[in-house]
Amino acid sequence: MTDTTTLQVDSLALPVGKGWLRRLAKSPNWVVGLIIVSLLAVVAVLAAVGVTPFPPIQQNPAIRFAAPSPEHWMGTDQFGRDVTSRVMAGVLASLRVALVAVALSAMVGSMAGIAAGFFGGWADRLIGRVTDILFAFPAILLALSIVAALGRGWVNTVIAITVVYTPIFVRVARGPVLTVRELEYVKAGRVLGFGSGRLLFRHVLPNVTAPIIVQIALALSWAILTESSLSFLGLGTQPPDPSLGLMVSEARTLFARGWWLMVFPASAIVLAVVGLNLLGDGLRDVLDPTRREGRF
Amino acid sequence: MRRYLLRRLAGALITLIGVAVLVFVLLRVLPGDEITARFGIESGSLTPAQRESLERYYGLDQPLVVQFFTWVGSVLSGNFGISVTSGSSVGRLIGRALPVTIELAVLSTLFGSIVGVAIGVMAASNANGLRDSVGQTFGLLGLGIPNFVIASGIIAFLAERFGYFPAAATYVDFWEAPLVNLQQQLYPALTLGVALAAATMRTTRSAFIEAASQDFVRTARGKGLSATRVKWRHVLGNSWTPIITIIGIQFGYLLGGAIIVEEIFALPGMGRLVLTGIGQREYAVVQSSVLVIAALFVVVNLLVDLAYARIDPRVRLT
Repeated sequence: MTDTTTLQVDSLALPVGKGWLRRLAKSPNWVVGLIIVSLLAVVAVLAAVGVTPFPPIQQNPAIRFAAPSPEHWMGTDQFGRDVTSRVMAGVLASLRVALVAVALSAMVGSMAGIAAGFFGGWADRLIGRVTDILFAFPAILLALSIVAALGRGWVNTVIAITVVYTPIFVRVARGPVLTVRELEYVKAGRVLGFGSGRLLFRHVLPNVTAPIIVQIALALSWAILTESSLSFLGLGTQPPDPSLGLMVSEARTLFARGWWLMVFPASAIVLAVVGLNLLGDGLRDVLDPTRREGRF
Repeated sequence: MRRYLLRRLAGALITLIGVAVLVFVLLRVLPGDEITARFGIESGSLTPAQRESLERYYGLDQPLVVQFFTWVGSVLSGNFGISVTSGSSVGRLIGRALPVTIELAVLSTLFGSIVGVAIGVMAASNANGLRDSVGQTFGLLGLGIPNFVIASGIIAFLAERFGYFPAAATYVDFWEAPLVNLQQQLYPALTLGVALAAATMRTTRSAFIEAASQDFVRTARGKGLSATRVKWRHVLGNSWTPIITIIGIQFGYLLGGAIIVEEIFALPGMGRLVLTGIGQREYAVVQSSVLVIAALFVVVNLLVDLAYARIDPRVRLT
């Protein structure tokens, strides 16, 4: 009896002991992802404290469309602004929106999902219904409608992305709770008279953290996609503040004047998305043995 | 089976009602109303009496609940309202835009699934080898490069190299001139298809690898079948369920992704209708087209679920 219980729990829980960190370090996906994401984080922090080669919105008509050079690494744009500085500030803008939005949706979504799975009944049905409704929208359409309703700007982008990705966390958290709830040790806890709070936080929560952590990494990459798509459409960060999506959008008509206007901001977006994806894949390989994709 | 179908249909219906409520509420949050949208700044100089009669005309003096049911009632009877800017009925606008989006979605699904399955099988049958690495890199980049980056890249490349501007031409209907139409749909469909191909490739690869480790594969090889036959018929034949699922899910996402790609390539589909509607504060247009897209999304998901039972007799719908 004890054996089967341990076995089932193992397949859900965070791997116990020191092994998981070593296994992570051996996952090439995770290591490459970590390097990319750390690099971008450094860039964002530098931009946040104002350490960019030039002020990102400083115009200089004398050097419009200057090609990449030792002074302007990524060249200058149609207003003579330094592209390197703008890409750095754009990375900061994207990461800020993605981090806040995913933190909010992970918190709200996991709590709702855990409550739904643990308590069942009408709470489960209500939460499930709301989730279904939000899932009935293609992500970008929902985000677009919300931004259209609330108005442009980065705070409203955060709200929109939060609403879009909360249902995913509800589903991810609810599933394992349903399984754990029926396990012997939770039932035993109930018989011993433990309160719902203790059961939830001490016994159920630790068992759903692995899928949630994996989901956070993946959701961050989707959030960056959504944020840059919104700003591409002109609904995210507003000019003159730099945003990667908007830079790509503007570069479309200016490509003949300077390829660097498109290539660098686009590469920053791709790097961020791919890096976070790799990080998420690596975490999943190690933390979630039931879905060990790519390790056959 | 019938009970399952009924339950799923009822669930889908409730979801759609929720979607309608959400869309309705979202649009009421928008600052300004139809009167402001119609008259612009001049709406400020309307006398109270003029304003009141306009509110009565647009039904804005009714309680929100009544407004909601009036809208749902007219949508159900096929009346989606009138687009103020263009003067034509929203029903007709949607009627014109929907086929464009559906054609785009079908074309990119075709392209994405064929390429995705092919690369997936190629990668899986050489697991951890060179072909696998190439395939996996494709999967990673395909999911990592946003469709607007691909689209912008294609547009910039075509303009620079061939002086061809895919977004500049007036859209031609398929039934008018199929070849011109397909030419206009080609680049948007390729753009959207890349992400679908990447997702399909990843799923195909893992499903294929899992199926290849089953006993019946050894048996098939043991009774003397050729490796190719086993690969395409037996292994792939048993991998379809997850592949169809992912293609179905992605088809739904295409409807959303189409918004941006249609905007970039100036295809007059549903996405463009929504975006222009948002820009022009056209309640009736945005409200109804978002509802139509969401309804389509729900129906596609339902069809995917139902398709399981047909493809995989092991799946019993209860």
